[in-house]
Amino acid sequence: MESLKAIPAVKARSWVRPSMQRDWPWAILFLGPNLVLFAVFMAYPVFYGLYISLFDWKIIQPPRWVGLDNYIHFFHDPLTPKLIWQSLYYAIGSTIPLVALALLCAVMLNAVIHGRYVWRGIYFLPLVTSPVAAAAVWTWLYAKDQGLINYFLVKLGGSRIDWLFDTTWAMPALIIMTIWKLLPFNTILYLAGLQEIPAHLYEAAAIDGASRWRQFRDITLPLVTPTTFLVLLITILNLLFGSFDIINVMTQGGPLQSTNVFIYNIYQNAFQYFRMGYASAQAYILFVVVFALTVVNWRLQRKWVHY
Amino acid sequence: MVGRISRNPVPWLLLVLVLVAGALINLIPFLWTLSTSLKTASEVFAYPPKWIPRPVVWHNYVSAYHLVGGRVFLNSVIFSVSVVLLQGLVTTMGGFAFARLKFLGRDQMFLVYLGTMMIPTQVTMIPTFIVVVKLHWIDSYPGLILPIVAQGAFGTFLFRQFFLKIPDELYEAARLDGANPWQQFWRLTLPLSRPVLTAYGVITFLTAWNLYLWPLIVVRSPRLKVIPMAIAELSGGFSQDRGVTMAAVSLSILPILALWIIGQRWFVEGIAMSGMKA
Repeated sequence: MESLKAIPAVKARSWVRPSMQRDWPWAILFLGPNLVLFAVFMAYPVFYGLYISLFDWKIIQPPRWVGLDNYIHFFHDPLTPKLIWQSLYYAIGSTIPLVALALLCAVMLNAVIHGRYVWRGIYFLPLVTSPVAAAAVWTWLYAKDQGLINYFLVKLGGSRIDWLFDTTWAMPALIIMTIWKLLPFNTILYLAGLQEIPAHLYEAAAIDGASRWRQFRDITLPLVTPTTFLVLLITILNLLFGSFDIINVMTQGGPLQSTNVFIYNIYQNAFQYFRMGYASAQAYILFVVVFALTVVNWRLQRKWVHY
Repeated sequence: MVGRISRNPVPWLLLVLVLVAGALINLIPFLWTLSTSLKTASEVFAYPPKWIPRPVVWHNYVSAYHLVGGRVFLNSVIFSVSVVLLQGLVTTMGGFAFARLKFLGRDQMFLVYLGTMMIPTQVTMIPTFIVVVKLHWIDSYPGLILPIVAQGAFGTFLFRQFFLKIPDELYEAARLDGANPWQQFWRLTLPLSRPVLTAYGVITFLTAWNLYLWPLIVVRSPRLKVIPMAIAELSGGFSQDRGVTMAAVSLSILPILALWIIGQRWFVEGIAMSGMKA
């Protein structure tokens, strides 16, 4: 018993099951490269970026400490409200059709039996092209005089629109193109979600005499809400952060800043105007806002998602 | 809707009509690209627009290849293949470590990985750029490739989840046969993971092939340019022959299109998997 008292007191936390330690040489082999790359190019930059945002740094000059000035400037910059409005315009204008149409497409594609893979092959094509290639094609489609879109517009009795150079129509042009590009992705997610709905529910409803519209409204819609939640989340993230490629190729934020959104302005500030500190601050503000929205959406799940 | 259309032909006809309309909307930009790519410079600007070029200018594709430059295609291949192989190796090994090895802090570390998955890469592109500058890796292959390989948190997560499903008994048997973890990894885990490996490889190749923002930031000279950069430049130019531009666009899509026709299923699986990311 005395020998037990001779053992120095050890905090419970620092005692680890021996079995949790035995593989560490192998862990270094397997996880080492992953960890090093992760630390250098992902973990460190997260903190370093915050640090940079506290400086005024034009690459050619050494950084100058400004504390929270970048963040304060963000709220006073006249461009900021425009960026907020246009980011929202783009995001919401694209998301609503992207969610509704994707569900519609998924329902239709799910109903097709013959040549299922061919239909899906066609519908999912916009997905595999690069945003840059698609943007190049659509820039040509939107051309004022030779573009296909204006050709059809004129045929239907409208008048030509100089899409990408018109401050009113540039953003709708981008939205239409974005919907075309991202719809297949959401459709795939919805298709997966639809498979989860048990078939017997539809059969039971059909036996009870429910029309297909009622089946859709009372079975499909509620049971697909988990997927809808996922689709909403992914779409908003994709739009706010992934729209750079399209904007850079098609409008470069113009005409007259009418298609400038946050992610594009961050790039401009960092790599065209060389205001690294301010751009970094913008990036973090954007991230925090989106993160907060995601958390809010997560909490709201309880209200409208049926599992 | 489980594939049951009532005998009533009207809704069925409506479905077909809508499906065909949708298919056309999806296809027309591609068809138009193909059509434009085979036109002479004057036919490109013809009004009303013609669908079938006369004469068919196959030479546009040759011009496009020379305009873009063989080097650019090579760079894209080098970049995409490197990313797939390196990231594949790193993420499968990492996933194996989290799934099968026992070490201090394993689960906490995994949670940190999961946490960073939620940060979009565009948020860290500026500091990552500075890191690459400090490593003197700007405008170099390592600077282009390695930061992308490092974005494997999702892959690590994916493989860990998949590897966890492989029954312990198989590993026990391997261990009794004297296999160390490295051998277990190569002889047992990986061969059993072919479906997820294929889907992951395909989707990673696609992402790397189409990547634009990071190369735009890191590449500073023509010798390292990748395809999306070249296409973006062509699209922005005013004096270009549109036919040649569209031919270049077609060339850039071709490898992916070929992969798509061969293995559509893997793409769809890969995309559904990346949907789990959020």
